[in-house]
Amino acid sequence: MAIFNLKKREIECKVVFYGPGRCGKTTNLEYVYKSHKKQVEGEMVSINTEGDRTLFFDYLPMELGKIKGCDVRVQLFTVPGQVQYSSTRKLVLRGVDGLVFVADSMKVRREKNMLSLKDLQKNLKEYGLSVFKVPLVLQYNKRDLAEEGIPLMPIEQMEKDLNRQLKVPSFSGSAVTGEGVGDTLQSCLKLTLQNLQKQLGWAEKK
Amino acid sequence: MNNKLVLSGNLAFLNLGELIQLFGSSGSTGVLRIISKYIETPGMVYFSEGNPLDASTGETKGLDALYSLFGWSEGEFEFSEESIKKKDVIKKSRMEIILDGLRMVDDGEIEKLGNISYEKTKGPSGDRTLPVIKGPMPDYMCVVDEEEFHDGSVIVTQGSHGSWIWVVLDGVVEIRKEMPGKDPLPIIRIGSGSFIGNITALLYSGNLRSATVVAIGDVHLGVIDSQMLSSEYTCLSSEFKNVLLSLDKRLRQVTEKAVEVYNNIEKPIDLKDKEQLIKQDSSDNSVYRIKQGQAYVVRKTKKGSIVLSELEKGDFIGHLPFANIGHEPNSASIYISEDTEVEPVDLDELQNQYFSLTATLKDMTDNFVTFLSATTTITCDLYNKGGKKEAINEGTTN
Repeated sequence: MAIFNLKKREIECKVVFYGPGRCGKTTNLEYVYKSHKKQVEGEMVSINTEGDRTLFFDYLPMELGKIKGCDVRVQLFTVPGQVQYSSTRKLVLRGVDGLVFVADSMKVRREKNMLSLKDLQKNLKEYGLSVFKVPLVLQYNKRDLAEEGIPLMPIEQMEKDLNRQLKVPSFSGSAVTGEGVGDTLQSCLKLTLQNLQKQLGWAEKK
Repeated sequence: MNNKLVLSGNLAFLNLGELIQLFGSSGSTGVLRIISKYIETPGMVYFSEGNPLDASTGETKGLDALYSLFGWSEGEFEFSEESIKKKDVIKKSRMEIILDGLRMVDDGEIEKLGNISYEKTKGPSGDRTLPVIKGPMPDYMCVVDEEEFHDGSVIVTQGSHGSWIWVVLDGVVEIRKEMPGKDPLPIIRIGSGSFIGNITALLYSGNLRSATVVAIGDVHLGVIDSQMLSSEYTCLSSEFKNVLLSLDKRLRQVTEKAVEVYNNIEKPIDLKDKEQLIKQDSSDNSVYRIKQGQAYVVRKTKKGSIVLSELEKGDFIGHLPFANIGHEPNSASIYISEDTEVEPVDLDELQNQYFSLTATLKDMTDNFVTFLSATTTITCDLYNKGGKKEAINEGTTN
């Protein structure tokens, strides 16, 4: 649940990048950090967790404007996938407002994606959230690897594997080149803020 | 001095990470005190405009102290708003401290304060991990005498009579089950704040000791004023006494089971003609007293089902809200024989009684509950290992 900071007149919400280890969550965030310098506040925090790094920074989505006169500040997190990091996962996922699930397009990672999505569902449930209700977008990452001849899954197959029941917006991307990264984040932020407005009964009455 | 307590609560509800975030986003200035029952001095964190400046836990100061506080997962906190005149020792950003602190807890780099930790013991034929059970700082009001025991000395001998109860003040002791013709089987180890001696020791002067207790390294014990505890015990409601005795029975049975499983002599019980009353992994929170018949506490494990305890008339079954014994309903099922009759138990009454216990008896009860859940884990581990007959005896003594 977003935090309203009356002192600073800010709405603070939390968007988390989730996905199997080495799927490119951190590369996604690093790209956002580098390419949107102006919208980033403060330093990027990078913690070395086994298998993957855990990243965090504050992001100010200016293009979305103010809500009821309050600025919006988004805390962007990646979450370590390994089972042992339950304390970190708990802190990061508690009160999450929006999620990006980064899936690995490599054929060999097919099962890992599905397991990780299931794991996400299980984790959210612990905080009383449903994967079907939380604002969520999917990103099919590493599309660029096709040029190097690495076998990738066709988008249709990934849709069928991961998005058949969820039916959420999905993007193909390549976090290394930055392709699709912005679109993914924008779409997630839009959903997140729409959801916040709906929850607060601020949806415009027509 | 401007000292205003503005926020207090339990870390189970708001943990340190969340507190730091909260003070950060509200730009608070003041002192956060963290009180753990496992440590004498409280931990302190000083905030200025939402940023942690310095911290201390006993001797440790600065960032290291702040990190170690992430391991204090159980406890109370207090925040008082006051002006802080401290040097800014902690330079790292809030979120970095939080994420790094939690990572260190998860990676085992920060010691978790709590009632159970694990110690690897090296035996001649392989390692075995024994839980070490600790309790809160003992209440010295109840300690009438102190005793020292040297490494390897036997404090209590299984099968002997005795009704003394000790609390471990310093050091570690090991609880072992003696087995005829074999080396004893180590069950658990207990450290400071834990009690030696069961509830039944308060009842009969001729109490039979159910296990041997040996000092691992030099230990320092406090002798508990059992007369005081006895008279408190006598005044408890009969329902509550029953629960304590019934828990004691479970512990004895689970420990016996560990020996049986280890020696491969456990007698399987046929559950086919028994009815399941409480299902493992369910959220059934009812509590019953057995009026007649038999009830079996059964845990389903990887290898199969193991009967942990057999209960009868007068025993309780079900989930006690104040005692997480690691049995039903989360980690075990209850099966009952055909002729069993049960009646519901008044939980409010039990809970009130529990909350009105004096510190020592309450600590003893909590300690006992931790023993039961840890011993159950040990028994199930032995069961899953197939009761291999390798000597897993600890190497330093005997």
